[in-house]
Amino acid sequence: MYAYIIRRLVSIAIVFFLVTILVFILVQLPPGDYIDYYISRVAAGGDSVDIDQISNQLRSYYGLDQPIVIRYFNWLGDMLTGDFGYSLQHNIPVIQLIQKEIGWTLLVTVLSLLFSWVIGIPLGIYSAVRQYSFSDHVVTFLGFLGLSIPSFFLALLILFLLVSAGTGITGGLFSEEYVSAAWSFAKFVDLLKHLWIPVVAIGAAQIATIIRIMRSNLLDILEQQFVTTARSKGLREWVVIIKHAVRVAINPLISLAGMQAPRLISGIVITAIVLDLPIMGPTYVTALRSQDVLLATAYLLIISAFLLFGNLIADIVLAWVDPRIKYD
Amino acid sequence: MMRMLKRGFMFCILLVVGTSFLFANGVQGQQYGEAPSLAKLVEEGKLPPVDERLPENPKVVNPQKIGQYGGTIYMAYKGPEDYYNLWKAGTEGWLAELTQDMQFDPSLATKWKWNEDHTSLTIYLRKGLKWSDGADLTAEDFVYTWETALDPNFPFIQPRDFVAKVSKLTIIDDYTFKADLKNPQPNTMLASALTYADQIAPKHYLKQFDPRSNEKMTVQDLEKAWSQERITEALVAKPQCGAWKVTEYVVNERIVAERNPYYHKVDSEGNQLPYIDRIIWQYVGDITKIPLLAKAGKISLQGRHIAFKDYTTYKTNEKEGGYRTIPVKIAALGPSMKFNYAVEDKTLRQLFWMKDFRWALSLATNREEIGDKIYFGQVEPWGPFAYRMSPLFPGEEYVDMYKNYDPQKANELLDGLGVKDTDGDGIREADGKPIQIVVDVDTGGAGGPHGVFEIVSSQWKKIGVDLKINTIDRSLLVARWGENAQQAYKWETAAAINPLLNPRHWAPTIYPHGYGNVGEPIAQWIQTEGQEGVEPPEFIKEYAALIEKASGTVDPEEQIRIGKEAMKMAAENVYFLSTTDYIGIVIADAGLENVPDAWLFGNQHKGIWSVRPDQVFYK
Repeated sequence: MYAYIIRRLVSIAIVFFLVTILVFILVQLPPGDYIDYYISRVAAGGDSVDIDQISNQLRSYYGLDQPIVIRYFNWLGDMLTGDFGYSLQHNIPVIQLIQKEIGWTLLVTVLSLLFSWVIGIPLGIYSAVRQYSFSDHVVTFLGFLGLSIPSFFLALLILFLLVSAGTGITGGLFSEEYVSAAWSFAKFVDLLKHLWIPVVAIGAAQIATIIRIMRSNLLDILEQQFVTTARSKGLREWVVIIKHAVRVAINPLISLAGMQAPRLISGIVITAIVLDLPIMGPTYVTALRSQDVLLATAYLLIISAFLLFGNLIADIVLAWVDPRIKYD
Repeated sequence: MMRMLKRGFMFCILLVVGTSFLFANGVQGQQYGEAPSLAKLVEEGKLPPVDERLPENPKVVNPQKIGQYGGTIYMAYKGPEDYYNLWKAGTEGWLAELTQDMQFDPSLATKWKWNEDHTSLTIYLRKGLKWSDGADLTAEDFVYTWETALDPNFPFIQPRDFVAKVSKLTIIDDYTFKADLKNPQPNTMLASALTYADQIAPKHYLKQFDPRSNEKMTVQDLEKAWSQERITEALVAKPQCGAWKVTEYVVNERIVAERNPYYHKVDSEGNQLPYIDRIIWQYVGDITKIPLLAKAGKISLQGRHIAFKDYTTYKTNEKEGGYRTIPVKIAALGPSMKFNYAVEDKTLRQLFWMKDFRWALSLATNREEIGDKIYFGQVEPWGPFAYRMSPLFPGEEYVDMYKNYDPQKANELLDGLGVKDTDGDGIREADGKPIQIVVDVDTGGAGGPHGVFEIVSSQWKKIGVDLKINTIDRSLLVARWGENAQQAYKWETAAAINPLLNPRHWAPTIYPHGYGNVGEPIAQWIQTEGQEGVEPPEFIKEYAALIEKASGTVDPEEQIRIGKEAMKMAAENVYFLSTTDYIGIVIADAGLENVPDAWLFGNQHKGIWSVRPDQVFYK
């Protein structure tokens, strides 16, 4: 097992190195650069800057005039020392933004993942056990409803209802007066008042997937012989289902969770934008849009790292949950 | 003479005595009124008394109603680059402010004077101006800032139109400085000199980060501390001179600006402005969120990022959100289609060059319909020339020219050019190819209405011209100028209240990256005097020359004459396809006083500053 983990870590390191190259090139592929964006912004403001010479001046000042290979190695060298470079857009080191946002990102994503599991798995089990019953149809219907309502729309709907009800909640993780207040119980309560919205909105779409996977897996398993054997041993029905069938049926969900880790950053961007969440997704998108190269690269790298480690953890958990799986 | 002086003196005494009686709320013997929060700080000894904080002769304004102190204005902002959102709300000061009738109203400056041949401008500042930290604001701050802008070693701050023309800056005394210019400049240059001067930075504070005065520092250190046109944490520490001073910034969450105790303006009863205590900007990831914020009552005064397409939504939620939706005239022309006269497709280029073709497109454009469908009939059809209020307005006959919708005449013009629909698919062919124009339209620009060219496209079906809309991001649209990749693009031409305030939006006077041009290679040809690029049609050569000449003409009457000439030429030639004049909307809390019912809202008037937020108050 340990040998396996070490082998995986080595391969992750190699993949990660290749990813840095790919990411660095990908982010810079679109035509134009930050200076073009800057100029368009000034133009949009109706202001006038003498652009003749300044674009070249600015390019050399920000080092954007160097060949991409040199920029890559400079950046890689810096990154290995923990320096992710400077965000042109925010005018602060990228690391500061990461520090500010990664905590909230993990909180929101982990909570919504948990939420979807806690709701989705029991419903999936229930649905499978009562296959084709009326309640199965209701759960299936609700599941499909959750799947077909985009989470950003659900978020908007919740916000609209909250605003119409006069709660004054318009998104974010805090009310305006608590944004920069010191931590207190009131602030914590305020956080809870806001936090459930993204958790529900993002979780709801996942629930459907989990219900469907859980249901179909369990149905497969329930037909297998070891279940029949268990039943014939005279075990109680819920023991058969929970201890024998579900334990096997849950495996694909664990792999799914590993895949979902990065999706929870990049896949919920629109929802996060709608809700003004101070998390990584929206920052990543604006960075891409304004060609704030280093910021976008750093975030894309973090997303890739999430994917790699999410998969590793999923594999380890899988091995732990299902002793039949051997890696050596 | 003596008697007059004496009378004047007596009057002054009476005025002083009279006004000091007026301030029942002020401390006895104090000349000016101040906010209770500041009075408390003065009492605690944390702040000098208001009389000492104000300049010797504060700027006196005449608000519609005298206000009361207090309250918070809420706005929404879009991210670290939304700096104009702060600046236009009043976190920085201006030498002068443009009034609704296009006059320069002195603010930080008391007056300015050209020399005889307009090669140098002397600016006189108010005596006793102070930064928000109480330090003196003097001519030295201006000279320091402008010199830094002119110094290529500090590319993070760039000289604007006027400053770029400066050859030498001289400090005459603490409150007077002189800018010598490379060549004579007309009066219109004052707009840039006086109102674009967001380039006033506090020298006393910045010099500690400046590599020129502190060896340990680098250009990057100065850039960080300066935070030029960027919203960063550094603004909290940096002294400012506007009505409010940024006191808190949480990245992508909110910005707070509290009243500046040293603001240099008082109302006509001597109360120090602003009336409002603070402005709080709330971050929105996307501007489509703003209608919801307004509904929740979290927008108190905003014009920026308020999309006209949401007009009905705003109207519907007015009661619930407790605000007013105010349509305002915008100083720019509505969305226009700029032809690329240097388009790579030679057939299309040939067509664009034909005056009759351009006129056919214009005649086939039903501008009334655009106005009705998009602006609820609140706009007027308009051509490619300055508005009525502009001194360059060419005359009513030109307005009528563009009111004219006549698809039949358009068809006749096209028939006359020999472009006919040969294969019967409803689209005319030129050189055997169907006539298709692709217009780049940007997705951003909240003020910009959506769908104008979709309407135009359906209108042009009637004359057999296929207009395709290519929706892209604004930065990509701009990048495509340089690559000469587009056939035509949408642009809102700025400064239609006076094109000479911003000529580069009106003619190819800049290369590269001249915004509002009609093809980069055309601008290149004009700017390199025919060395490189694509030679433009004759009328563009003449037109560009006229605009350049007008912008450089010092004599105001002559300047207007030449400018008008240019406007007529643009109108007669359909220089670009403009649609209508332009309106936007401003959301204002129903309880806010001193917000007019209608006004001119534009870049030259500094957006929301056109309302003078320092004079609004809650009743």
